[in-house]
Amino acid sequence: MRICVILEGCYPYVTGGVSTWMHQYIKAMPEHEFVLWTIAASSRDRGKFKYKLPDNVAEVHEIFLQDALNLPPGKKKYKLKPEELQALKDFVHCSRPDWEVLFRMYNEKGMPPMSFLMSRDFLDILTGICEEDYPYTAFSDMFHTLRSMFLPVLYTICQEVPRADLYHAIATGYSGILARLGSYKYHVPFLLTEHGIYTREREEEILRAQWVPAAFKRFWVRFFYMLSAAAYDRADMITSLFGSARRIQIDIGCTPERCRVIPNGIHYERFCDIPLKEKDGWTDIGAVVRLAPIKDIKTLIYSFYELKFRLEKVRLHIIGPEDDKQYARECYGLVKQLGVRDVFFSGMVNVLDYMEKLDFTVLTSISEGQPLSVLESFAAGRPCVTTDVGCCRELLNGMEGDDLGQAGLCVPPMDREAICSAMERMCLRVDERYRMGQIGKKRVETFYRHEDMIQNYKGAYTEVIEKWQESDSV
Amino acid sequence: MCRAYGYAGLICAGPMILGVILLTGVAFLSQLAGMQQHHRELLNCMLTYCLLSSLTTASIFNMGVTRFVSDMLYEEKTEKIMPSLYGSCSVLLVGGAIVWGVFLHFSGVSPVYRLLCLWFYCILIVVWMEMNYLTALKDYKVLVMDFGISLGIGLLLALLLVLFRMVTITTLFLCVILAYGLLMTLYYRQLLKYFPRSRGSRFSFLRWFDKYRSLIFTGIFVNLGLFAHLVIMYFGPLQVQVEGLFYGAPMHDVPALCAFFSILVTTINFVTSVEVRFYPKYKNYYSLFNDNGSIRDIEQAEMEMLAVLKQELTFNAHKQLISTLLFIVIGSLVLEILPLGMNDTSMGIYRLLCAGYGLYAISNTIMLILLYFEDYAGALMGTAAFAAVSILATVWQILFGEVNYYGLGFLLGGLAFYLISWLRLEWYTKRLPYFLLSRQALAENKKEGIFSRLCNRLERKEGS
Repeated sequence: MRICVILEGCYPYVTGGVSTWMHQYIKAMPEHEFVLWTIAASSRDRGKFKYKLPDNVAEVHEIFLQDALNLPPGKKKYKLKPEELQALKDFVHCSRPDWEVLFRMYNEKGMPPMSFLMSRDFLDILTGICEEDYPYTAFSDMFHTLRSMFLPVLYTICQEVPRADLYHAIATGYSGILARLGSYKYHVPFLLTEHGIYTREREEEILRAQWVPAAFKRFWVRFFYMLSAAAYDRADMITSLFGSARRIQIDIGCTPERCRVIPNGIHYERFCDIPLKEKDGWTDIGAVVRLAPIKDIKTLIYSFYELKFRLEKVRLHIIGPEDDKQYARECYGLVKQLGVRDVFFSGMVNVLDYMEKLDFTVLTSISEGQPLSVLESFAAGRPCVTTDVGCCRELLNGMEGDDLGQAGLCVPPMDREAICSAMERMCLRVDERYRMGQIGKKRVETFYRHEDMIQNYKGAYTEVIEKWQESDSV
Repeated sequence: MCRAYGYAGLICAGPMILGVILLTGVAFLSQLAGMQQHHRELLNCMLTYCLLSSLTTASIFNMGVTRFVSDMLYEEKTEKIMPSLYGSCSVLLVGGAIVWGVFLHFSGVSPVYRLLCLWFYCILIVVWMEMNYLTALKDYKVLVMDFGISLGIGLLLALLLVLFRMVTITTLFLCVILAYGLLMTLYYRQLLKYFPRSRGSRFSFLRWFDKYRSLIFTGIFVNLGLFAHLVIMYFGPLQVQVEGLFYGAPMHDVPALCAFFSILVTTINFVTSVEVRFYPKYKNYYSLFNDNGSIRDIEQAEMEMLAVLKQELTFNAHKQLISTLLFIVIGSLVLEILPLGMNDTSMGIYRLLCAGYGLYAISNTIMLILLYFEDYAGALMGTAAFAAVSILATVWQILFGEVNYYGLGFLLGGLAFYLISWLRLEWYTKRLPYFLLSRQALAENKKEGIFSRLCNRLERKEGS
């Protein structure tokens, strides 16, 4: 089968959790041919891949959103049909536009993306919105903001669609739109497999962002909800990594029948034989994380600082690349400023080797999906202290139908005291720690193996195709 | 920033008015001195040729340079202004003198006269360019005062010539050259007072010509519309060959010069009333767009601005109408008394031209408003129609038309100018936000045009 995977801002341009996942995913399905349809910001990244593409990647089609800004204004005038104008109206209102009408206009009839945004129709719609909902907001700011908001979408749907038997988006957003476009154009099914919840992630980002004026935040959020809805409405199957993510998808508007959970899996056999650390009088704590604000490493450093007052012989190993250089410098500075000893930043190392030096691991993220580092730690028989985000609690305590028991300690995010106490308990209760480690190992072996995950996805492909053919023949 | 357009509008009328005063003065004095009629006509003809050709040459740069100066004033880069004066003058002088020199070479008058014409032409070009800069500064008092001083000294000298009985074409011409030379120096002194510092390339203003290419054509077309019909008449039945290539058509020229004064009212009114009342509203509206105005504020400001605009334009048109009627009725009576040699034909031409200039004045005001709104295409359409219709209709008239209706061609040109500008303004003001916001592309178009390339070349030479 020829599968078109649609990727936004990750594989193969950047390294990281999702990218690595994608890379291994494609490698694990040699019987399928893959077409990568990638969306990145700047055309400076063209062809600059961080991975050696597997042999079963047949083509790569790249889209760069910033190219949209340099588009020449469309000279030709288009007389919009009523239904086309209606679709555009709904689009600008960020409600539920008829995407198929938009696809026809922009992808098939070749309407230039700028022409509507430079038209009187757009201005009239915008004036209406401002008069009703934003009577006190700076009008020209609103105009320019909305134009730069909509242009990339119209630009992406103008692109040539690579042919495939199935479109597979790994997030909603622009990828979701493209998957729907592909499905529309070649009359084939599309599958959405979400790692996080794109809508929620964007929402959090927008609300936090300094660069978005308060008046526009609501609009940006609505915009991303519109993009997600476009995928949720039409995807033939929507998967998530864990139960609560599925519930959010249903809350946002997916029909429950189409929502599935397919958890991530890891290569269990690579970790299961790592021996436990030999006793040397020290307790070694590992944090396998990129240095990035979302991982909240500063709280970890503070907690360890407090732990050092309670216990003498503990060491903290922070293992991972500097994802955010500025943040990394701040972390180094904090360690220096507190004068806390026995904190090691290992940088990029082979986790398999490093794991031998650790007794247990810790994860203090303020947001997570289904962290692979926790699964790897479990597979190696190391229990984990995590914050209660994403599906961490589910990993520690087991999902429905899993009675193996507790594989670590779960604490509220950003709670230094709680993190410190949990680490202290892990250090002191050696037997409990050992037991939790074994439970974790068993859990990964049973539920979170890469082979199983791949099998699940293959099953999803088959199911989607079969259902499509059935409904098609009816 | 766009305010300068108002003054740029004067540039077309201003110099012409000054020129007419000069011609009248010289004609009067030469008659006083008892100069031969042929000599009087030749002098008059040469001066007119110099005026028209220099005005046409300068009109190529008028609008573009005005835009450049007002942009530089707005950006507070005043040190770039004087270099652009040197640059624009040198380009025009070199290019213009070559063309004008070729004409003079074949003109068939004596070498001394040719030299005098060339000299006068060059001085005039510099004066017109200086006036561009001074009008952009809104300093009319200086403009008029300095002109008064130079004209006074010129006339005084001429009077002395009359007294000492030394009046010839050459001496009188030298008087005129001296007067305008003095004017050139006085204006230059004023400009140096305003812009004591100069730095940067002399030719960078040429880049503006690519950015606002249609402005150049607008400037040229206004000029063609205003003056081409005069020249065309030299080749019609009213033609009088004065000497060599110097022709005249006094039966058309004299009424034209007189009728020209009828637009003085509107020209002044534009600066004193339309500008004064409209500009603050306009500025308010534009700043709301740039500085966070909400939709309600913008709509309110637009309504107020357009109301004032409509009121002022109507008022302005009424004033011009009354002025034109007065010129036709009372002017006719006065002209019959004056010893200008007006007959029935030239009286008819005079009346038609009065109506034509009246329409031109009203349309020119509207065109300037279009420039305020950055509707360069609209301004170009109006002025192009003005030039095309008045030229074609006048040509048709001298070929097939009846002498009694001469002037109708120009009147039709004015009518076309008026209709197009007026309809365009109506159409455009209904879509102001659209043109202000929607037509803007996301990224600036950085295409290099012919003027930028010329600029690059000149700048390289400057550097080496």
